[in-house]
Amino acid sequence: MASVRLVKVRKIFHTPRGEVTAVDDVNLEVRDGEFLVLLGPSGCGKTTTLRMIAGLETPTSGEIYIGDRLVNDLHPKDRDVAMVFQNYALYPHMRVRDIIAFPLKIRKYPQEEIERRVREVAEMLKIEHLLDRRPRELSGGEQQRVALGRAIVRRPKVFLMDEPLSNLDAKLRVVMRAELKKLQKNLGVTTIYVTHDQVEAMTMADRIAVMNKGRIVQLGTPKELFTRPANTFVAGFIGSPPMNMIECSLDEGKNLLDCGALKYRLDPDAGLTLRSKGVTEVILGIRPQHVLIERGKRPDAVAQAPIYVVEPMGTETIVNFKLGETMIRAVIPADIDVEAGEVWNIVFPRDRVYLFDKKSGELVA
Amino acid sequence: MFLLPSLALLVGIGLAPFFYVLLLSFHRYRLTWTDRPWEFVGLDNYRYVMNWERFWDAAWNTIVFAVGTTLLSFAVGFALALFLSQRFKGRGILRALVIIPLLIPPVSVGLMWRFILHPLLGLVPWIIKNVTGATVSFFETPAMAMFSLILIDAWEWFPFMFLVLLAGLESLPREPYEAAYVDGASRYQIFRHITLPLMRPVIAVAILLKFLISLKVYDIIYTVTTGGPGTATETLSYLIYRQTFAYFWVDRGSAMALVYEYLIILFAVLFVKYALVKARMG
Amino acid sequence: MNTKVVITAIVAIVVIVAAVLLLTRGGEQASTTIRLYMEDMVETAYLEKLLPEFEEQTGIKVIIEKASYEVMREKLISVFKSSEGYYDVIIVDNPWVAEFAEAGWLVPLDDFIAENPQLNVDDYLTSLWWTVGKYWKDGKVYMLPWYNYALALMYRTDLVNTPPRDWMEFYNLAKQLTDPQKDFYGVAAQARRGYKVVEEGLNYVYGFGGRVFDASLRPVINSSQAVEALLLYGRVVFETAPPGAINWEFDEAFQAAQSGKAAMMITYNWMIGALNNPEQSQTAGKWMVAPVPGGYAVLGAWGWAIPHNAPNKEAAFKFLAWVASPETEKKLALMGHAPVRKSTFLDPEVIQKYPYMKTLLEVVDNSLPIVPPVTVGEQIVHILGQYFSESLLHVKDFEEGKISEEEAKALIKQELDKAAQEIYELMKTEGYYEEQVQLPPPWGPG
Repeated sequence: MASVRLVKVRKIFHTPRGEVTAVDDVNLEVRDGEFLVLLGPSGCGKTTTLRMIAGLETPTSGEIYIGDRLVNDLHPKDRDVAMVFQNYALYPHMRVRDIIAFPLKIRKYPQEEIERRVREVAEMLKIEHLLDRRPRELSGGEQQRVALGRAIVRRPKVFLMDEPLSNLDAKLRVVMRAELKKLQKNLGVTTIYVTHDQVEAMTMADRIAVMNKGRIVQLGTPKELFTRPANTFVAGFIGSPPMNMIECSLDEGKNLLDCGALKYRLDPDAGLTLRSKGVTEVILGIRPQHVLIERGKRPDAVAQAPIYVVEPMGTETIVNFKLGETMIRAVIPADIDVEAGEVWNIVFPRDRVYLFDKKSGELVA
Repeated sequence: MFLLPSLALLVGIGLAPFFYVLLLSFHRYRLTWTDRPWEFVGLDNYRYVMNWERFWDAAWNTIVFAVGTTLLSFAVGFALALFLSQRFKGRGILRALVIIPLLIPPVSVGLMWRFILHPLLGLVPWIIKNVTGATVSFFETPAMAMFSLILIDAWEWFPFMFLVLLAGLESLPREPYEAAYVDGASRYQIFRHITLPLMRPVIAVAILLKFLISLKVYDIIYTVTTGGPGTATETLSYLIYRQTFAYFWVDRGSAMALVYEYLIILFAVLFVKYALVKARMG
Repeated sequence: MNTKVVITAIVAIVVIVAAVLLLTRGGEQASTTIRLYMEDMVETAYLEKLLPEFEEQTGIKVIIEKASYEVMREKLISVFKSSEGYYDVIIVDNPWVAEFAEAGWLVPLDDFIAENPQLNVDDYLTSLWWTVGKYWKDGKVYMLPWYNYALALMYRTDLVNTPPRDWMEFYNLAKQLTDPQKDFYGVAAQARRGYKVVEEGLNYVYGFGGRVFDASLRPVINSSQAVEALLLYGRVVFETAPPGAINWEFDEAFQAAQSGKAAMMITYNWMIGALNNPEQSQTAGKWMVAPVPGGYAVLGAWGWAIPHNAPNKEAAFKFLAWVASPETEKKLALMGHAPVRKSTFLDPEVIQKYPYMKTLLEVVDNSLPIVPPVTVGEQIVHILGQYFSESLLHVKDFEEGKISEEEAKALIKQELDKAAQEIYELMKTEGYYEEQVQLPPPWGPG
């Protein structure tokens, strides 16, 4: 087992249209045995980061360590990492048995050892009955398991997984999510997992590194990311439905945020912080789950508005309000009856409100 | 309805000459006969061909030649395709250079090589003499003559193999390569366990095509050895050509051509059945 | 707008081109045109230079279509076989003439010869007259000789004092001159299977007194003289010629000779011109020509003929009357043409320009056609070519000590037996032995 450490890693691609910085000075430490998720939208550099760790790409600058070993110039076979690809990348001409055995075979393991290990892995992944088939005779989920089998059979120091569940249907994905997490915990192998799906990240990760435009914008446990998003990007990326973001300007004298169609009274501390940091343009964030709505009048209501659209989700209902140009979503229990057109009061509980600097996007209060 | 014109074309272009040749092979007829009618002789022509030692000698020569040139052009073409499928500067120019032999007419290829291999004035014997001190004569013995023909033909055809195999290599999926690389395979192991098996259908087709083309070899034989010394490099196409167009014995020539065609078809069917099907199964 | 302009322009161009084509075609029809089908080689080039003279005299326009030797036979067949003729005058190689005549593809020329006494056919050398088919079967003439390609000996005057007179002398001299260390050889031989090995090897057979046929046209190529001749020929090829000469054609041999790698060469008599031409030869000026050792040489000749379906026979005859005339041949000979008329060989102007003309006359006078004018000439040459080549391989084995001389002779005899047998059967199928024939000398064993 081993930790993985990235020090100021940068990757520049030379394309016909010029240089593209895919990964920009990334520092990251993945702890031994940890399940770390690299989360971000497509093109954020997460896959490139993973491929550099695997040895499929060479960093333009910076250092990558596996354990204590600098691996920048090492052939993958000396890095002792295993990778699961998004499209599985099974060897189309081999039987499942040979695919799983392949990493051992090229390392010239004795035949009995190979057979034993393949059997073990097949048992663990419940694919014993598939061993004599070829990839094209397998379903997506089965191929996924074979790809996993090939990765775990040689007990590498690090697992690298590139969106391994994204080609599965939604139902299977939920099942595999749990299985994969359990498997990782049982094996205790350091795992770096790339995904753009925040639900996957939240449910599986020990820690998540959120990436945007080649940089890690926040690193933390799922809970930290949810409760203390460091900036508007993380705040908007994590949570479903996404956090309401409302542009406001600080009315200094009144300790009030003027957000167009709605007004929000700051608590004195927050006002003080804003002023001390010289922030006047603010983005007010609040998760839909935390927006309160009431039929009756409330003095602390930020606005009173008619319901624009109602989206029943079964266990809960998403209510959309339209205030001028701003849409505000609230998630309420399904047993509350709401109808479009009804006028409700909207309340933002003070302890649930995030204030971001509009200029930098950083969390201020 | 729409099929009719193309069907007519197929029959006209493809089958009519075939039936003409088939009919001829059961008759006695020479091109110089202007007034004499065709004379029906049953299987006489076939009997003659089947019992003619030279026909079977030529068949053997044809097979030796075809196997030799196919393997040699495949080996060279595949090696180059592997080399030039990698990314590096100047690859485009090298690729263009490689296919030059394909652009030279076969007759010129033969003439050119006769002089490249000329024992006194040729480049190759000169190099060999200066390096090893030995004088090599490329057409002195039957075996050397056959070897030299194979060499020349393989030179002309390796670009064809190169192009077919390069197209095959470039269309292979990338993912298994990355997977094998991360799995720790060396370059040789990737070639051995990934490239080779994935290329098998393409290799099989390339070899089949080249082998069938080689069986029909004529130009190079004509320009380089005219089948000699003795009958050492006489191939079936050459023999049939002589019978038909030099001697005007189109009847016997037709019978020979048909026997030859049956042999080729038989071979092609067997090859497709075993090699190709097996390649597809992996 | 632009497209319109382009379309208009294209239409205009098409119309103009069509008009021009129609007009020029019309112009052609007004005067007579004849088409010639010829081999692409130096003799044709000489003729082309002289053509304006004929066109001026007669107003007949001549179009020459040239082809390489390899495709001529095939092409001629398709010309003969088509219902509508295309060529008015063609050239025919002597092994083919009887075959084409028998098939009815050539126009008999006897009436034409009778009507044109100025052609003076008695002026043609007897040996050449043999190649065209005179004295044969129906006794008609189907072709007029154009140029000869009798074989002769070329030798380097700086290395050879007197040219050898028989093949043994030739072999000994060649062996003496050969020095593989210095890449120098006695003979630039050309023993490629096919025409070459026959054109060369048959000279040895003639020199040893052998023949392909006896006077009654029975094959006698398996004679003991022929066996001795081929054994010696093989020794020349393997001991005194550069390695690989067993597969050499004219080109390889000529290059070896002109570049100074060989002292002697058996080739067409008029090649003396090329060997002594500084533009073609690095050893120009050092070569002389002599009759082949052993006396009798192999003779080939191309001749003029008119295909049965010639569209314009009248103009074709006019052309033949001009091209075959002694005057035209003299003009051609002064350019380098290989003559067929005795008068040309002996013409003082020609001799003055080419002092060796008398030697060439001796060469052609003492030559015998490669095959008699029979309908299977091409096949006979190839049968001989194959078995001569096989025979050489036995000599090779003898040279390498794998077999004794006696064994080599026995094996050569076997090959020649096969050749004789095949030729006999071929001739028999063609109906040659149904009547008794008796050929005059020099046919039959000499």
